[in-house]
Amino acid sequence: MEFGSIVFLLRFLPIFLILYYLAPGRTKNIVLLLGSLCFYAWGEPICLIPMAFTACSDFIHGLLIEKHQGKGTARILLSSALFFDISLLFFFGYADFFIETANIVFRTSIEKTGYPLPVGITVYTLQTMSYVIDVYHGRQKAARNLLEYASFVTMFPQLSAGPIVSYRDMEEPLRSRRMNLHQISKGAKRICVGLAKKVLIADVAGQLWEEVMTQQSSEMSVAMAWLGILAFAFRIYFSFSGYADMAIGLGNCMGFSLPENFDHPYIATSVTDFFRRWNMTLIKWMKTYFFKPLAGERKSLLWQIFMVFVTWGLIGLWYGPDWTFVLWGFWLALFYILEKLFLGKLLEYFPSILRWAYAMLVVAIGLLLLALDDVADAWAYLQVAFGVGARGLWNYEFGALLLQYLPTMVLGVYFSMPLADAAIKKLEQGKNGMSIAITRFLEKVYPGLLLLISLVYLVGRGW
Amino acid sequence: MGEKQNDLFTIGIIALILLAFSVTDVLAHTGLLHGDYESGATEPSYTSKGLMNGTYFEEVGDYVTADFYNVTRWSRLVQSAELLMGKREWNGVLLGKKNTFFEKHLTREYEGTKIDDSLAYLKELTENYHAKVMLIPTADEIWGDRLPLYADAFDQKAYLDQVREAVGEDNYLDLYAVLAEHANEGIYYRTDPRWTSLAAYYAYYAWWETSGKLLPYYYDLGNATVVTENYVGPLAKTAGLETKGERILVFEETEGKRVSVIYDYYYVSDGYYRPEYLDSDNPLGYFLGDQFGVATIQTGQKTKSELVVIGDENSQLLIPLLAPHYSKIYVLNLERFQGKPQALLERRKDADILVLQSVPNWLDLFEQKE
Repeated sequence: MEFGSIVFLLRFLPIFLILYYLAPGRTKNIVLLLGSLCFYAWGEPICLIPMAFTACSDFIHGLLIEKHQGKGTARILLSSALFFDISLLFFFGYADFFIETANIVFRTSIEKTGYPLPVGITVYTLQTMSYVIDVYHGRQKAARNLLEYASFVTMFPQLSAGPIVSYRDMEEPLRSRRMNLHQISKGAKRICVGLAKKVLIADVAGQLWEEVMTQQSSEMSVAMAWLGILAFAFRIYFSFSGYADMAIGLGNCMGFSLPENFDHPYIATSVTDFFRRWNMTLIKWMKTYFFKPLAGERKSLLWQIFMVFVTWGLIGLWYGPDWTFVLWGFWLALFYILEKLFLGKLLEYFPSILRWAYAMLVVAIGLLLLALDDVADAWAYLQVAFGVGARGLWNYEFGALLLQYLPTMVLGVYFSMPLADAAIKKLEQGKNGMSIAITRFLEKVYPGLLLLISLVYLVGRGW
Repeated sequence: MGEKQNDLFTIGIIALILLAFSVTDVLAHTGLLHGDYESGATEPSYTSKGLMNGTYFEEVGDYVTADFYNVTRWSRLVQSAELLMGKREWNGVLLGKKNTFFEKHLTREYEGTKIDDSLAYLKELTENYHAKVMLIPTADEIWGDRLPLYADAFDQKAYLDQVREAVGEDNYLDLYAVLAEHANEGIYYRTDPRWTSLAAYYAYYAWWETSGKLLPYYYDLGNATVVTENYVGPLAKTAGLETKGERILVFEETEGKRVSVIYDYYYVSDGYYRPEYLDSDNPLGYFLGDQFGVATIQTGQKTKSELVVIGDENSQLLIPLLAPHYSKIYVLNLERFQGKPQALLERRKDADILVLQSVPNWLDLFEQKE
């Protein structure tokens, strides 16, 4: 089930929230668990199997690891837990990808499993892995209540695209959470903002991208190629950040406080800065549970460089089983390393606008790898973007498309930057009657208005 | 208002909107509310296999969205908002000034071998037969000032100039000039890519002036018959936008000769006009029907002259006007004709040949050849 669908918004969500608020005390977890299972089963019920298996396996492993804390057995149990987690992720998520690769490399003809990537498997697997690792290191007590733990693993708000949360942060609220009106209101507003980002910006930018892609690279003008890149950039960012907003908002409405996942990545002035702003919980997870333990500060520079590439290759793979995603990771890793070695220092001599231009150029080129099916297509597209084989600098088709999508692109630019937040802050700080009135009006009306427009758009466009 | 009231207000508004949408849709589906359900979506049927592989849920999701309460009204509302924000293209159809819908004919789609091949073909045709070229520029060329800003439309005038040069002045009839002269009249449908009977009327007199034939009678502009007032063409339907219907006029051939039309060598009709089409998806099929490869028309005229029209759905509006000058007219739609056009032309070596179709349709034939 998608957050931006009529079924979710007008069927599942109202029913779920009514039941959730009616449920007393700890029974809220039962409603949460059952609701999450329904949400998850809506896509493909078969996907419940790996999820249930992962939850049970890590719950039991956690208890056993704690029991044998400090002994060699704990290490074996940790390995066993991670083995199960990774095996399930590999089998259900990436088996076909590796089979396909093997078939190409070794000219074999191994049959694919045909299992689609279960929604959320990449999120909950990382969450449960971090749980057993934390228990092993003594940073986390093992969960003793299967209902609470299962609610954590299956919790639907953040399953689709994050943020990735740790059991450490969720344990307390899962046991007892106090909900207040302010938190629910904050959450409801955030849901409206997230939905609007997805429906009014990401989806429309996606349409523009599709329209650009109806042309072959050789038929595009330079301006058209860049318009396409911008459209894709907005599509991917506002989809992810819209979903993250909705997840955080839903969390608030249920009494949880989920971490932020995006912080205006398109204002980054270096690739390192971009990493600090893009899918923050995923990158933090990879740093904490993969890069730091394996690369370590005492290891050689060459090893560390190698591990940066591996880490970023895996981050790419997290987005989907495709080699172009891995290449996207490698591409960003390359500049991350260069910045750590010398480029970062060099960039400090340049004005921030040039640093931003550099960062965005690297990010934009990387996005092409996410956007296009293969490297050859991405290369052809990139050449056109830089004028090689392009159909002029701009043409009428570009003008027509730009005019058609201008409002969306303007909204995209505006909300990619912290301008809206700054404007709201300024209004809030305003002391005169007008700014107070505007702030209060906006505060009350804009979430409902965004929701209304998004719903009308969803229903009207769905026909 | 205190903070608590503020929060309550926000939650209340959001909950109200969500519930209003959900409840009205559910009530409408239970039959307690009446709304429009024009989507034509059908309720998905349950299968255990569909349930397990997720397709059943996916179909239910699509169905709930497609069959939403008053879905067409919501759709119109979205379109109006998009229109206000400057959107001028829906499903590949452009909406220009004066509520005119245009087919897109992009410059990049009409260049290269298509142009060269078509010119070579016309040159050969006019050299070997009594052929005259009457290619029809479409609305985006003649009504270019109605196109949305920055709409790309390939230069049909430039192509027609090349055609004139390739076939020679004697074998070319400049419909561009004829239609441009009447550009401020209803020479194209607003909702259909074809020209109107009025345009065909002007084209007919332009043809007649160069034909050296006697004029059997004069069609009176004021006496055209209205066959329908509410025609909404395929462009408006594809775009999905609401618009007023238009008139279909006809300058009826009034001689009352016994006419027979044989479609694709087997289906016979006894007139140029097919009223049964007026209630179909293609009311313009009123003029000689549609979807045929070749139509053979016995006009009942005593003359020995024969005509082969290499045409499309535009030419069908003009053919009844040409009928009094020929005893037999072959209408050849190359897009659908299954036989060998060359063989047919060879068999009718002495017949007049008229290449009478829209420029884009004509050029698209050469894309198929590639």
